[in-house]
Amino acid sequence: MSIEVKNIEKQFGQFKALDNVSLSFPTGELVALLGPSGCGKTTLLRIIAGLENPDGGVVHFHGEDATHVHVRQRQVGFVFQHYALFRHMTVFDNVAFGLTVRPRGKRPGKKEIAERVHELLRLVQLDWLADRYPDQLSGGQRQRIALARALAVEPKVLLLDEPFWCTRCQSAQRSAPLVASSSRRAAYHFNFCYSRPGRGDGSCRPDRGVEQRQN
Amino acid sequence: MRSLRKPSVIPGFGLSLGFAAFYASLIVFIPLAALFAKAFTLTWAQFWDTVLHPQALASYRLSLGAALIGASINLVFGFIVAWVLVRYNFFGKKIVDALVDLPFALPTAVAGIALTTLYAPQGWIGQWLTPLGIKVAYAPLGVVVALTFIGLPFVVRTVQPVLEELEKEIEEAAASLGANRWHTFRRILFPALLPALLTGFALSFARAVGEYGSVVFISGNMPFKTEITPLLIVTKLEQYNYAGAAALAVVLLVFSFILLLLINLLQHWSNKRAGG
Amino acid sequence: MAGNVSTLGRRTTRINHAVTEPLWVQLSLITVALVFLALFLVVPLVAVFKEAFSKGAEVYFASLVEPDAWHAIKLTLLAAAISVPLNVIFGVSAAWAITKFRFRGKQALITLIDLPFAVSPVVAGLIYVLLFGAQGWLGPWLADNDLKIIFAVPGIVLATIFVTFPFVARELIPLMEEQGTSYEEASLTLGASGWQTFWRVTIPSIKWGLLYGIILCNARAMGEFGAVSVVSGHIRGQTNTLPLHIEILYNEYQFAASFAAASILAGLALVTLVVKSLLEWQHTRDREKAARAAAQQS
Repeated sequence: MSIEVKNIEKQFGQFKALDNVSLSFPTGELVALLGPSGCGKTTLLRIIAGLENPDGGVVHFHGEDATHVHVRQRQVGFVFQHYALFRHMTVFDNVAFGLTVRPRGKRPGKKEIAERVHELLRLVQLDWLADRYPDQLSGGQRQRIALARALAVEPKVLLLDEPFWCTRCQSAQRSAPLVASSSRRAAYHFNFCYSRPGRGDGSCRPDRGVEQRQN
Repeated sequence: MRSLRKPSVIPGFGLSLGFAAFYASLIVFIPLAALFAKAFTLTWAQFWDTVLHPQALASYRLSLGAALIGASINLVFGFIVAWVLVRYNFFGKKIVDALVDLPFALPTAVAGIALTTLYAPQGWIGQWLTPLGIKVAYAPLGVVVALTFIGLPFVVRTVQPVLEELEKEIEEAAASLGANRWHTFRRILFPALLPALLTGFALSFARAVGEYGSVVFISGNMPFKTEITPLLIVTKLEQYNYAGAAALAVVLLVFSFILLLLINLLQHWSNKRAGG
Repeated sequence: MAGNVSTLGRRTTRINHAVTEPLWVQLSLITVALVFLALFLVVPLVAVFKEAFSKGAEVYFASLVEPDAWHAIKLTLLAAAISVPLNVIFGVSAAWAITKFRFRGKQALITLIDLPFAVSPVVAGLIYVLLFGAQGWLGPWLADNDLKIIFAVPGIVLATIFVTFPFVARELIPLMEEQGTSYEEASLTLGASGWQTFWRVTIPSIKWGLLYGIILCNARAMGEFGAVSVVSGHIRGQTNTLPLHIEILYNEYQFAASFAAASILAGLALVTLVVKSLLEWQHTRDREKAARAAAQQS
């Protein structure tokens, strides 16, 4: 699915986070959004995800205006910077969450959910951790679970907020190519990840880097 | 015009704020407003006559005086208790720590009758004090005892977390610079703990000024001598002098609000200290 | 103002012997602290139970099953059963609005929540008498419609709600503030509805803090004396709660019976302290676990 943002504006109090930003991402591309910290990368991602409303401008998904589509309906997978795994749920329940909250008619059966969850856990190579709680995982493991959780609902777009911020952990390094390959294998049309500049995460080669400048 | 709320995707703003505001108005705001409205059905002259009546003045003296003494006792001993709980190890520490909150959990009426029985002339503690000529129950001293009891946890619970957060390195640095233990305490620790100590003192004081249940049993309730302000309000109410009761309540409330403001300022100061 | 200082989870005790006091200072301070606490806390507590059984177990149990006492117990439970759930609903919605959104008037709402802690219990009772009493603003209307609030059960419930009003909200606000909004956002991106997010993500993540608030709220609700005393009218077998029943018996010199009733409330207080401490220890363990996990990460 292609994404186009046009003339996006966002202001927090006195601070102008995004000033007339326009970008377009064709279907199937893996894009990294680059720029110094504080230049509005996270804000732009949150606007695309529907977690934040822009003060001005529009977001188009596949040519259709999605600016006012609710985050629930956008079918956007979002991996939060600190993962936001539900602490009171096991890894299995975390990944299954998106499937179990579907309305009764569209909700897959118990067995089907279990199969799907284990398939995703195998994809991120963490099937053996299904019964653990997030507090019992390392940073890299958590990130991969967060990825699996986001993929479970079969999003059209996958957004990763600072996926490699914890570059010191080995596991995160390993998960970098995984992000690329797993999402491709799962046949998502479009991927959108972003990272900070100057970090050695060359393992995740974006198809294209988009530089975002400080206003 | 800008809207009341900054837009957010999280749902339930209208419902949660609507219910909270409705409930808070119904339970707290409107009844308190009614109190002020009632008090001001009196003319200014009547209002001042009521709140400056010698019996009322005597009750303020007792309420404030006893609360002040009680809070001071708690300031000193609460500090020692907090210090001991944070810094030292001893048998049963966890139980002692849990027990400190007893005055929050124990109903005031229960505390009142227990203290009265203990400090009555024939009571467990009273029998030792009577020969010394010290009268506690049915005397102003009894009010002090009750107010000390109900304010006991405040100083401990405000000082304890601050003391835990204090970095040991600061003391070690002071020691390495040649300061002895007393100097370190007076110059380093005490100033750092002062905001928390004062906050605890003020909280304890504020709670004591309005206290009723534990005091009415032990004080003897003699007008001009052992009658606290909340009791005087009840007396007026029982005489169907609603406006008079409301006037005294307004005095008590205004005093509490000033204290609340003071406490907020103290906590602000305390947080700034802790943050910086 | 109890809530201001009783926030769940603050203890992490560490003892370092590099900088400390001489042993004799330590021992004297410990002694002073323990004697002070024994004198003010333990002795009164022991006295309650000793006086309760001063005339033997038979009198003790007889005074508890006596109809007026039994009615007082039931009324106390009823008042708590109404006021605690209402204050829980209020506390959760106020905390939700305050911590998940930014809006004008937030500070005013927070101040309003704190207010009942600063109000004398007697004044808390008085305000409802002024509103609903025979000479109150709504008194004539209530009388015309044959409704009774003051000197009746509704008044007792209202006064109880007032004095326990801040407990749950005060406990939840700092907790939910700390958790931020990312869990709810994550849940929404996964397609959950608002209510699903609330019940399946928010409530489980605040359950211990909520329970802590409920425990404190309940203890105060069952033990409130001043506010309830003003609105109840002290009608035996009708508007007497357990604390008021204690007062009546005490003033009639039925000390053993009075202390027997008091011992129930003292027992409740002890249970409250135990549950509260367990929750605090659980919270500390949780914290340490999370801290260890975070340390692993960086």
